[in-house]
Amino acid sequence: MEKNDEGLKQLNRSDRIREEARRALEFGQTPKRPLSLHPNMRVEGLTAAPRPQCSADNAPGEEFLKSSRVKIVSSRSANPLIAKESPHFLAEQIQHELKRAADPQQAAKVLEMLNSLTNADPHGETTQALRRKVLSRVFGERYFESERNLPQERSSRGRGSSIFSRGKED
Amino acid sequence: MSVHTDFYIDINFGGDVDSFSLNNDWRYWWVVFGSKFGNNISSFRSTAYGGTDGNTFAFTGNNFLGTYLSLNMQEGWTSWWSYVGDDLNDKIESAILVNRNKNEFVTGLKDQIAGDFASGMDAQLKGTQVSRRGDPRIYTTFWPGYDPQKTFVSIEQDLHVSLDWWPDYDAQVRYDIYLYLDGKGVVQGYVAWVYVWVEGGIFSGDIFDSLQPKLVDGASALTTQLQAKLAIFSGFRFSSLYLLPGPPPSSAFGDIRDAKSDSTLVLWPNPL
Repeated sequence: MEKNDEGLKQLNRSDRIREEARRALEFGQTPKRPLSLHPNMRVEGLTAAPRPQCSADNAPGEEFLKSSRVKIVSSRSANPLIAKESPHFLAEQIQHELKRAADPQQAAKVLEMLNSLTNADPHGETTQALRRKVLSRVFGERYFESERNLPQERSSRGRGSSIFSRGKED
Repeated sequence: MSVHTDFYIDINFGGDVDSFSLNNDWRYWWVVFGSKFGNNISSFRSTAYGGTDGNTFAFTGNNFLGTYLSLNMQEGWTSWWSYVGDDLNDKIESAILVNRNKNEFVTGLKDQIAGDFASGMDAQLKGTQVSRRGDPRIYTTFWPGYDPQKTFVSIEQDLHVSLDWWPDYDAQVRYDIYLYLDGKGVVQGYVAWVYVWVEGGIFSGDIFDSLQPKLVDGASALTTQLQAKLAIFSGFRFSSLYLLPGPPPSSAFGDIRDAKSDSTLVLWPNPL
C-alpha cells in the first residue's frame, strides 16, 4: 500500500476514518481498541504525575496559600440566586457611608454597596448619579479623564491612562 | 482595596456596567462573565489605589485563555480601553484582576523553559516514530477544573506520529508544572499533570496506549530539569509566588496578547 497521507488529510474526520477502516479491512489490520466516542473522536487522557519526594517533604507553606487567595465570582447581574436589595435602601446607605469614604476600608464597603445598587436598579437616575458621585469621591476626578476626547467612530481602539490629575493619552 | 475595574457593555463606557473591587487581602479576583456580559463587553477601565499596583486581564476564552487585553496600573493610575477594538468587541468571556506588590521579581518563563524542553524531548523521542511538530507553547493555566485550587505553568507540544505504511496521526502532550514556595519561602516545583491526546482514527487507541506511558514517564525527567533551573533561586527567600498570563506586562497602559504566548512568574521578597 502506498502511504498517501496528503489525500487522506484532505478528507473530513468521518470520511477519513471510513477510508482507514476500508484499508484496515483490505490489509487485515485490526485495532485493539474501539473508536473513541469523544466528540472530536480523539483518544485522550489526563494523568496526575507522581509527586517527587523532595516536594512532598516541603509542602506548600502557609505564606504561599495566603498570597494566592482567589476570589471567585460569576457575573452577578441577572443571577436569580442573588436576592436583590431595595434600591432605595441601598441609595440611602451609600449616601450615609460616603461621608467616610476617605478610609480605604470604608471605600471598599461603599463600592460593594454601589455594585449591589447597580445590579438592583442598573438604569435608575439615582443609580447613575450616585455612581458618578461615589467614583469621584473614592478615586478623584481623574477616574473620568477616560471620558474626555472619546473617539466618535468605532474604527480604532480607544485607549489610555491617567495618573492623579495629570492625564495623558497614548 | 487596590484594583477596581468597570466592564461596560457599550463603547466609551456606556450601557450597563459590571464592577469589581479587589481587596488588598486577595491576590486574584477571577470572573467568568454570565449571559448578560459574556461576549458583550465593548469597553472597560481600571484603577489601582490603596497601596498596591495592579493589572486587569480580559480574555476571549472563558477559561482565561485566548487573546487578552490587559490594563497595567501603578498605584494611583487609571487605565482604560474606551473601545476594545473590532477584533475583540463582544468577544470577552472572562477576566482576572490582580493585586501587584512593589519591588517584585518578574520574569517570562518561555525563554527559560522552551529551549531545554524541546532538546530534552527530541532526545527522548530519538529513534521512535514520534517527533515534535513545531515549538512548545508555554502558558499559564488558571484554576483548571481538574485541579481548581491551583495555577500551573503549562508546556504544550504538538506531536507527529509516523506509522509505517499507514497514514500519520497528530497527537499532543501537555505538562502542567506546579510552582510554589515551601515553608522556608524557597521556590519549588514539579510536574503535577500530564495530558495526552491522539487524533481520531481507527488506531488512535493503540497509539495512545503506546505513547501515553512514555510521555507520563517523561514527567519525572522534566521535574528534574525544572528543579535544576529553580536552583538559581535557592539562595533567596520569598513571601509570595504567583503567575500572570502571557509575557510580563509592559510599562504602557495596556497590552494585547495571546495568552499562550508565555507565562510570567512573579516573586515577591517582602512580607505581606
